[in-house]
Amino acid sequence: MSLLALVVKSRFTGPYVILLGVSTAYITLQALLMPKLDLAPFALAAVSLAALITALAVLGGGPLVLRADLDFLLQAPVDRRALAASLYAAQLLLYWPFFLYVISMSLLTPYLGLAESLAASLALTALAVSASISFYRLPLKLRIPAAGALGVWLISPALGWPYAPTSALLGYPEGLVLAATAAAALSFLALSELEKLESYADVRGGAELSGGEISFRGNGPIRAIYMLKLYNVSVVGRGAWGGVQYRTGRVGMGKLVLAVSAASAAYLAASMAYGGPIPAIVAVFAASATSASLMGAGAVANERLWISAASLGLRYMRHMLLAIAASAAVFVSPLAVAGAAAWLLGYRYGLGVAVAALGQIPPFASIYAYLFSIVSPYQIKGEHTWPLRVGLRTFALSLSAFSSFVAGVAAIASPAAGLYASAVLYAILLAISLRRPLEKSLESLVLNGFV
Amino acid sequence: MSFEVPCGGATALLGPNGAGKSTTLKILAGLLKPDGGRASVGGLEAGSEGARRISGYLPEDPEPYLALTVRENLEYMAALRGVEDWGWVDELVDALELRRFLRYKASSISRGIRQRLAVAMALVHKPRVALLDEPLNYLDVPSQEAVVALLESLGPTVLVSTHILSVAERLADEALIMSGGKIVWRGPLAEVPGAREKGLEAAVAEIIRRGP
Repeated sequence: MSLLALVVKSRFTGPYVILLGVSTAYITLQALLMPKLDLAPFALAAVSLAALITALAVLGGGPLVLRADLDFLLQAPVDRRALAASLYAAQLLLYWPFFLYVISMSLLTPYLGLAESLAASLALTALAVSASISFYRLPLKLRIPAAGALGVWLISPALGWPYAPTSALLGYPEGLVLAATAAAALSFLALSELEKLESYADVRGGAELSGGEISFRGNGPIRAIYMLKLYNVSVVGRGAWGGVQYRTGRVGMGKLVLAVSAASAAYLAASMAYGGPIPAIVAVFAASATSASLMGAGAVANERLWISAASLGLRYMRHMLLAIAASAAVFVSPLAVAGAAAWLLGYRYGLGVAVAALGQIPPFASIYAYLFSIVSPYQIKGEHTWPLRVGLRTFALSLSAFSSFVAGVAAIASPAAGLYASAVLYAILLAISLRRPLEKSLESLVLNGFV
Repeated sequence: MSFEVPCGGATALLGPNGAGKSTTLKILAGLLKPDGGRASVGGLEAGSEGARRISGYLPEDPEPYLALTVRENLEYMAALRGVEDWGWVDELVDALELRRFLRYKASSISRGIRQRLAVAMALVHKPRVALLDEPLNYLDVPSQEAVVALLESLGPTVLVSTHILSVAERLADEALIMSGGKIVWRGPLAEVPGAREKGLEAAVAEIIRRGP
């Protein structure tokens, strides 16, 4: 078996690889057989999605190197360049499903033929993978602006600027050239980074002092749970797209609300300037994806159940799920305000954004956190990330994320439909807070070594 | 299997990997439900609110909240446990020599200090029953002594799971040797048959090998 095959086999299940092949073939066939539609919003959505994926990859990604690689693979007498290339190729496979969404949207539009679309998608996937590996060593303080700058550059074609790699999706030849050049340049950096695998074996530095601390003194148990979720949002690397180790961090709620306020102001300006549903859809999609990745990764599966559930049992988990919804409601509230303001200023889709922000995203964050706890046993601590273990439950997780996005779009189209979807999501949240589903979640985590 | 630990007593669960030691502790801590039978802690059904209140559980390789500091971890657990005696929390910090790490993030401290923190979190409410899974893992000798002294001063009923015989000797009055989910021998470690002739490790291994 070749080194590449071994590396792929150690990371992905057979069904995952088969599913990728079938999906790619299906989308290609669809592109060949279906007539082109003149739907500019799909192309713009493809650009936005590519920008979002790449920015998130820089922010929370990293090389797809498992702990077992560091413990065992490094000792093997294999050629380092070949190993780096295999690891890189495996990471392309990890990101490929995300870019299938991009391709499927761009193929529906008249800008690109099949060959150009596949070439653009491959170049953009390579760009995201390379950026994620190349920026991995930067401290978070530098990675945040880097991800932001790259994201802004990549989304700029949606606002008419052609000199960015993602403009390839809109049919600009200079975009394809830029995508290929940027991917090639960063791939060079990424491959040289992957050749230095030994340095990942001990990435931890010295003990790290924390800045502001929360004081739980004088608080009862239930209040403490809500304080934990409302003062900070935990960010956990395990749920990210690959990574060397289990990484944790936290963002103060004040800072997060400020960041969301800035993004909401941008949304408000875009909706006033461009009109149409696209700014609203992009805002709801970005808010759904961000809240799910923040709250899902930092929630149930990362609770220290050995002490928290041992102390309060299912009561702890119930309040924790509700606290997650409350936390999400707090940090997306600026978007709800911006949506309402846009509506009052005459932007008809603004009300739907407000409904989605407060009606759907908070319960969805909790539902996602719960589902994540069911799926998480597919991971081994600090090892695999969930896209690598494809099963029915993984599909359920993906489907729920997709459903929430669809519900958000429904809210934009009709606030009444959005209110209905919100009621359903809150009902689901209450249902999973009942004894049986919580027992199922706890049992799943305990039996699979999370306690 | 059926066993009980007398109030104030200390018993060690010994046995090979997969014998069911950790599962037994998780059932008693209320984290797993037994398929059948009955488990109780201090006369209260395992997993009930009363049983949770009086017991403190420390799993093998425990992890605190990595994004929180040492102080926040301790205070959060104290709040969850409804602790009002904050003087005791301070005593615990000093007893386990955690004071100089209080403001450090738990993700950045060493495995040994993390273990000390976990012990403090498990004992923060002065439990009457301590369920400890390999409590001395990763600890240097002075830290091991600090944990032993802490348990002696608190005086809880102790059920400790380990496969290190010296730890069992240090923390328990008697041992339950498990194999294949069953208890195959019970008594003080000094009375393990064949221990004097072959040595304790060889004698225990022989009992485990013979099985139920």
